[in-house]
Amino acid sequence: MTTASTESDQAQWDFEQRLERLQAIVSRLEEENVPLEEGVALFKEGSELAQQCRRQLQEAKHQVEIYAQGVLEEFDPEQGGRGGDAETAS
Amino acid sequence: MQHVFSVQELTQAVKGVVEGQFPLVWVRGQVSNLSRPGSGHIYFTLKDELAQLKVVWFKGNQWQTPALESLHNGQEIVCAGRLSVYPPQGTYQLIAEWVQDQGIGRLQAAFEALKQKMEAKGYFAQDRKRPLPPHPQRVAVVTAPQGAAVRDFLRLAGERGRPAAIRIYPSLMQGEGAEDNVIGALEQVQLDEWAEVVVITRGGGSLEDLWTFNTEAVAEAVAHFPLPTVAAIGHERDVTIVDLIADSRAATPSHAAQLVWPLRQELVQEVDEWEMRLDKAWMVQWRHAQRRFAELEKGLGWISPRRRLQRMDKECHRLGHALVRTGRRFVTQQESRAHDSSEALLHRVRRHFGRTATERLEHAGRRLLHCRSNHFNAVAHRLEIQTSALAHLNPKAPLRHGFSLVSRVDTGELVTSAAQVAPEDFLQVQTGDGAYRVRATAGDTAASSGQETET
Repeated sequence: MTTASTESDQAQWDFEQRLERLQAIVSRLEEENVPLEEGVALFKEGSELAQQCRRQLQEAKHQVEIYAQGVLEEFDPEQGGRGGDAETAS
Repeated sequence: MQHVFSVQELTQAVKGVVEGQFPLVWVRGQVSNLSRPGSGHIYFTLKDELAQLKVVWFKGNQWQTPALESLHNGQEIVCAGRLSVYPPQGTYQLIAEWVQDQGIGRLQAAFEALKQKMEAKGYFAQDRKRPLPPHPQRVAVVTAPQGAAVRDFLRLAGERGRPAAIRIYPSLMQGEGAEDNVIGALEQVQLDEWAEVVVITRGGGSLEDLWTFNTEAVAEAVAHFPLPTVAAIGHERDVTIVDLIADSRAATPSHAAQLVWPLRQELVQEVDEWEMRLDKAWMVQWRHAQRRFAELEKGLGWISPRRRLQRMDKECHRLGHALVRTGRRFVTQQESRAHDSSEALLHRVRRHFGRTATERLEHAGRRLLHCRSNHFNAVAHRLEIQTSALAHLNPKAPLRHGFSLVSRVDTGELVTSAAQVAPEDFLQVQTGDGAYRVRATAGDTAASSGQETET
């Protein structure tokens, strides 16, 4: 199972990592008797992770990039799509 | 003199030559002056840059062909028919027997041929289809960045899935160079080794517009692509070879986004479900800890010395009380039983003898007592007489008058005969007030003087 990481690490986590950690915590709490103190810590961490996951989904935005002359650039579909429905490369 | 033909003669001669020379010909050209009169026959002129040919497509020759409905001016077609001369007009024309759109016909045939080839290679087989990754984080899109398709795709994607990265690999999606472009973009995706899935998409168009995706090179590139592929080429009714080969086929670019990512609300629900499981698991843990604590606390209480003394004290009290209670109960029981018995006896006696009988009984009792005292006095008197008589019979009484009792010391038997005594035997002589021992001598001589005297 995933070991608990430091808080600074977790702040950088993406949705996947958070959900994975939440799932690992649930499995641990479901499968074995955890010492009380550790259990409290795990439950607290799990609740926070669920909260963060939901917030991440609310704020979720795909990052869109495009290759332009072999270089990756941010892509704005409204700009890119200005040419109507032409099926041509820029 | 030269033969002078009549017009009719010449026309007939030409007709013979023309019709004999071109019994059935294929001719290609562009439709113009199309006319569909009420008769059902179709008239038009087939032309190219330098020439024109009149064509008649009689109703009787109009077999079911897609070209029948769609025939229009400017269309490139291929006609099959007989060349004929029409004398009244002095013209020659093609009597069409088969009309086919030139482009469609060529493309359709090529499409069918490639389809058969790909099918023979097993590229359409269902068991070849790879599943899409459930929550792709890195999605490559091969498309024209200025097309409507990419906008539709990104709009739908915005409402779906976990936060992901989308990388657009720009490519021509139709016309000259599109084939190489698409293959190049796919190669780039493969080279980057970044994406988890690739989406190939473009908007709708004619068969010619979509032709890039019916070419063998593109079809092979998709068939051998190492990642799962999603094809969204044109609209639902447009089916290309690439659509058939791709792991997933989306009807439209928007549909492709739906195939790639689940609705975001479903993800929120998934997180909610995990949180509920977390709460439940924690409750179980907490209860377990609480139960254990309670057990330990209880166990601790049992082994504490004070509690032990209290417990023993309590036990003592309990036993003491029980003892007292039992004793009291026993006494009470006995008392009540004695009472019951005496009552019962009295009752039975009364019932048996009646009241007068009781009185008689009491009288008899009194008489009995009287009799007993009389009887006792008589017995006491007789006892005195007997005692006095007995005193006379006491064997020791004569001893007071000088008689002695002689007995053997060894056996204790009274000596009543001289024969009982041998010389040297010890004898005991009992007198009225004591005893002494003597030793016998021979014969009937007097015994030697006593050795000792007992008082």
